[in-house]
Amino acid sequence: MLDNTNKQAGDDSIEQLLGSFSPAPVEIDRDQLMFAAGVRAAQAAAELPALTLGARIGNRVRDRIWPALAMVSTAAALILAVIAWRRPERVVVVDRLVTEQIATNAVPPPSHDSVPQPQLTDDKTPWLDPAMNYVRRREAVLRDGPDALSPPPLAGDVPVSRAIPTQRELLRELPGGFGLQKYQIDSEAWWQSWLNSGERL
Amino acid sequence: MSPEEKCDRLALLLSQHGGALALFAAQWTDAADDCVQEALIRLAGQAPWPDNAVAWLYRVVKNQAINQARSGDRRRRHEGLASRLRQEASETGESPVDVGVLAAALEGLEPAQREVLVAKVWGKLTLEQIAEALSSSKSTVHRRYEAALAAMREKLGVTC
Repeated sequence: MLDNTNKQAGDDSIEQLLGSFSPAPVEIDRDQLMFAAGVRAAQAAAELPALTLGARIGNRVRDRIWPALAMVSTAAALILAVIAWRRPERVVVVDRLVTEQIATNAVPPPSHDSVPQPQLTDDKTPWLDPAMNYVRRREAVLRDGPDALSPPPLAGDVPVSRAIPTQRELLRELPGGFGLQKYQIDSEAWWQSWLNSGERL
Repeated sequence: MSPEEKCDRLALLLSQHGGALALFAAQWTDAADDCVQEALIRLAGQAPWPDNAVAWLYRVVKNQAINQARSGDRRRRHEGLASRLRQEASETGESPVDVGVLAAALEGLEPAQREVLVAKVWGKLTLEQIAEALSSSKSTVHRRYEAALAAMREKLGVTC
């Protein structure tokens, strides 16, 4: 405590001694200083709006360019995602030439008694039916012509009922035995003979 | 702040702190007046105006003085300090210490202690303003000030 009191008293005395001196006045041309300061202040005041305008434009561009790019890229990603989601599934047709003869010779027929045969075809998987195979049907068409596309005959003695008669059946049903002429049709001659025969009455 | 307002405040700063600023700059250079003038002109161009203009001026004057000392001829600095101090007329009579002796004692201080002492005693700055001007902490400034007073007491032979 005593040390602090002595120290404080010593500080006061040295501060009083130093305070008895004062700095000399500065030797500056006051008018020149005020003129130069006024010029500098006016320049600063004139440059401030221009700098503010330029800085404002620069800040606006800099602040908006990256959000804009981010929004564009996000929108593009969403559009591509929707397109990819709504695109129909791509169907790839692969031609496989399978020779039935080779397959039957290579693989021994399984025993129908011991192994239950799986149901290969049903209404939901018609492409598994060998008779509906595209490759085999194409080969049949190339070999036998368009008649090969006719549906296979049904087993048994069930008569085939057709809702629409064929051209040959229609010709046979014509009067005057015209159906016996077997496609040797001359429409003009037929109409003449039919009109002359009087059967229309 | 308008240019006219800035000039008025500069005139006030010059009349109140011009001498102390020149004394502060005289620690490093003999062209102390030029440093003060340049600092005041730079202050006029500041936009916005610094919050603590006095502390800002001391910092700029110090930088200017150091640059002047590096570029120009270095004279004997204690002569500069001696020319920047004058003895006040006192009722108690003549001071026991001569200006030259005081300047020599100041010259013998560490630079960090001397600049704090000059700013505090003759610049009338607070410890906060000195800390801001010297980019230091208030406790450091206070410690340097106490050390400078003790050193000056010893150099000048002032007893308690």
